[in-house]
Amino acid sequence: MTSGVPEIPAESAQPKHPTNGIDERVHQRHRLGVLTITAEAERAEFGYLREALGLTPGNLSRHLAVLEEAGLVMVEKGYHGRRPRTWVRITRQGRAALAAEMATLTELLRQHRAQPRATAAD
Amino acid sequence: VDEDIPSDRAAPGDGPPEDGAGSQASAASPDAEVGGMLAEMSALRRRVRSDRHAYWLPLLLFGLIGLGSVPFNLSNPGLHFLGGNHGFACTDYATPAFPALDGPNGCPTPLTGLLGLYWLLALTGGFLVVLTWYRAYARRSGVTSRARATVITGIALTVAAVVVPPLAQAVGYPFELGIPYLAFFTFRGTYPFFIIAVSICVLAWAERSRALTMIAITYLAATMTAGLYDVQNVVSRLGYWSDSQWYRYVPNMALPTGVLLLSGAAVALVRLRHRPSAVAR
Repeated sequence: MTSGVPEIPAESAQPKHPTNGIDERVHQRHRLGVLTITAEAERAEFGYLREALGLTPGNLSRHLAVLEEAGLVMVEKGYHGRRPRTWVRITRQGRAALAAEMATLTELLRQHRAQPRATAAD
Repeated sequence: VDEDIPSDRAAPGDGPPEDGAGSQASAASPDAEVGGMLAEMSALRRRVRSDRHAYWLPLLLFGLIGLGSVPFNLSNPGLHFLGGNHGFACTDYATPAFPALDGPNGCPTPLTGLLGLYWLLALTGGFLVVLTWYRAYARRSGVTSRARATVITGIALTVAAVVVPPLAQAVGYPFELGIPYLAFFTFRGTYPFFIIAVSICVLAWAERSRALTMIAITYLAATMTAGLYDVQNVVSRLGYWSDSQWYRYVPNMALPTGVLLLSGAAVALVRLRHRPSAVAR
């Protein structure tokens, strides 16, 4: 039975904007960099991450703390001879979060690039 | 194109120090910002890949191990490289100690009788050297590869080559267990090359290298050709030497060994010229 009132489409029926899927812990350039590096290697050393991302030790430590707290990376401390070494390893959750973020960014880029063409067509 | 050579050494954090979300603020358009971020991550990925690639040593090492097997594959009469015909009599090795690793049938010499032992020691030692090499390289470069998988695969196949034949024969099976075409590899003495080929395929997966994948496929093809096809007879038919000569089995060894030595030397040369910054530090 219809009431004559136009139906408001349910929210779930609307296309979801890619930014809705963004994870704030990952959507940050340097944290995304940490995940990208550790996903490409079995594990990466603290000094390597610092140099590759151009960060200070303090900044990198803060980013690692955020990622470790979220369960996206594991930090392993050890020694090589007498020198302390810190290694960072990505977790399965971290890989999933990285894949989701990259998919979101790619989709966002695709939509941005499609927009001017769609506007021009109107 | 070898992807080992990084085309872009961009460091995403080259800008001023940031305090968290600050780096996301930018005057650039969202399109450029997102595109830039994706490009930076792609450049980082290429850089890490290049920094952790260290496969020139396993290629050269196993190439040299293959070369080292050649004297064990020479048959009587005459080990001419030692200065003349030493007149070894054919020795009867009715029950070789390592049938899957031993050489081809024919007229064995005291050296050919040791071929199985040579391969057992050379393969086990070679894989342990690869493990040590990758550990040392990781400490130097700051990034590690999954080389352990290669070593586990290689040692497992070597142990299987030693353990399975006597067990199979003990329960009345042929030592090749009826696996199709496996007998060709053991008959021509090329099964150890097959162990190396499978391990290098695993290394290509661990290194995620297109160049190494191409080398692994070429080496596997060379090994299959040497094992399944009578390379020594083809060379003989081409008139280069007689099949009855003392080095008649060498073409079987030369084909896969040549692939590894040439590719290993080429990769090492390229690596020497374009040394990653992480290793050069």
